Amino acid sequence: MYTARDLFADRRAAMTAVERALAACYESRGYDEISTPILEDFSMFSGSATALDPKRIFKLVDNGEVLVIRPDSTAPIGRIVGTKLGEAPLPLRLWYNQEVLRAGGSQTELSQCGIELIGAEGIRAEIELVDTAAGALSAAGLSDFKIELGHAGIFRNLIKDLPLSAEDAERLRRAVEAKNSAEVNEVLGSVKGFERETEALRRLPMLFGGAEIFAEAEQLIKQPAAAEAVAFLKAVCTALGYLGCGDRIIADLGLVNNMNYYTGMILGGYASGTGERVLSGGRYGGLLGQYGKNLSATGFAVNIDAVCDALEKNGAATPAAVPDIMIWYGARGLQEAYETAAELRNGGKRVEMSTLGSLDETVKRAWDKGIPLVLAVGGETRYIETGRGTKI
Amino acid sequence: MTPLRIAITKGRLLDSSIALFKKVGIECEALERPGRRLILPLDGGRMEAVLAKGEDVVTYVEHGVCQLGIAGKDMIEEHPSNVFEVLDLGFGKCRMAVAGRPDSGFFTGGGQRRAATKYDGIARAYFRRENMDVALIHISGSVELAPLLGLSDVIVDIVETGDTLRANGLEVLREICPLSARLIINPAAMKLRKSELDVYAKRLEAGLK
Repeated sequence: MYTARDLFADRRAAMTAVERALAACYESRGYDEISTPILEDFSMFSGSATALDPKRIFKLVDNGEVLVIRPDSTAPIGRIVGTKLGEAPLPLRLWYNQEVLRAGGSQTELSQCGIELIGAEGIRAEIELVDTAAGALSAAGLSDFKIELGHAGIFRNLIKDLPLSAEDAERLRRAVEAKNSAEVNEVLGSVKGFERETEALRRLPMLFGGAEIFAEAEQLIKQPAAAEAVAFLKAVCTALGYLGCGDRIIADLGLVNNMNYYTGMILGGYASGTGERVLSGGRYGGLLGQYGKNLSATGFAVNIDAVCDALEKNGAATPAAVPDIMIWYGARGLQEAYETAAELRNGGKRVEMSTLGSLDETVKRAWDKGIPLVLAVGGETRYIETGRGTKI
Repeated sequence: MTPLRIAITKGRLLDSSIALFKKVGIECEALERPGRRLILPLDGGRMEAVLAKGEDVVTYVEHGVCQLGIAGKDMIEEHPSNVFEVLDLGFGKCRMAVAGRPDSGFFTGGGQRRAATKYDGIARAYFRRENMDVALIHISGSVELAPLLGLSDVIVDIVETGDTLRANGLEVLREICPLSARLIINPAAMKLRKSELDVYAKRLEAGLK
């Protein structure tokens, strides 16, 4: 059963406004646009090359080859980088705006507009990514939003040496993800020793908030590799504080989604007016390996639908535009009508040409459409206010 | 800022929720006399309460139209979502179990087996974990009828006292998991309104001791 997503009128206009604002934001930061095919080879979406559950991918067969309908933009971009952009100077900055399709969920078609920063590692890349994420959400028109930051290295390293079955490790991951401390304690109850790790894991669900959480995190997380991840995250948060977006940032050391995919910092965005994530992404490493490239990359996608939900809820969505003026011409007015229309359009007005036979009908139609003004040319030139909308 | 909204499961969980609210000093007079209103003031108007069926509580919180919810663990398990499950409220205790006639041979036989349930998701996951091929029959009312009518070999359902089972010659064959009411929170709200949510979560937690 597929949820219809016919986009028109105000919703389409709101989405376009957001997409244009994001495009301008990315372009201004040196990102180049890229688009990828609708159909891709299924094999590309296996293993750690994607965070997606294969069940969520639409598959079809052509000549015995299993193809997928683009379920994600990152893996195809990785393919292009791995096979065609091998000589390009690094890092690569790419942005995209395209639909992805997911089977089996409440929404099949999702509009995503995001970036990939490929071949840059270290804190400078992470700072740029988060600053761009904040810039993108602001540009999209959101005012009340937060960006959460986590790090895949924390949980991964804390459980690395624990004597847990794969099943229990997954149960623990899910409990941390759901911030279900009771369940975390239950799973860890069977683990003997490893106090350093288990104490940290027990507190992990609660370690989220502003910069203040790092004091406790540093006390608790002593496993060297996990502590290194915490230090990295703290450094990113500190840097973002200097950039003035510190109050938008929430550190969440218990972020453990897609642990097989992300290798470093993870980020997510939330905005008032929607319960969905408006943005998600992070650092991934396995994707380019299948093309023989040892490149790490980071990126995020903005969920255009969720952004528009939030904007609509806050009365901030861009509505479909109504023309400023409708021009009607009489028997001898053709040339003047088109010349005047061109002048007005050059001046930034939206001008609609009437196709109706009479001026009376034109005024009535303009009123119906909410157009405030009709210009009649050919014979006596005059402006008629319809009584709708704003005047010019 | 709009008041925080909490979705509460109607019925027994509501009674226990009211008792907990009173214990920790959250004013909840309107909950005791809801009348026909669907959205009720709570904590002197600082919060709003929505009364709903358990599965809808999870849905409201998942979509963020309610920031908090009180729902049974059965509903949270049956409707996988990304909500945070921050507190075991300790009330509404019962268990999810496979029940049937003592002599059903359900767990020893090898033939085609059938289970009737309201909880298709939980049952499917359980039998898959146990490597058992079981055909599920969805029933929305009195599930205990299914084995009595010969529709299924067993049922997968919530068991509290076991009285209904015993009255119909059935008993618990295997326990799947213990259940109780949980405080759930929408992830976006948790990030956007952390300080307000913290206050309520801490107050409720204090009432459990």
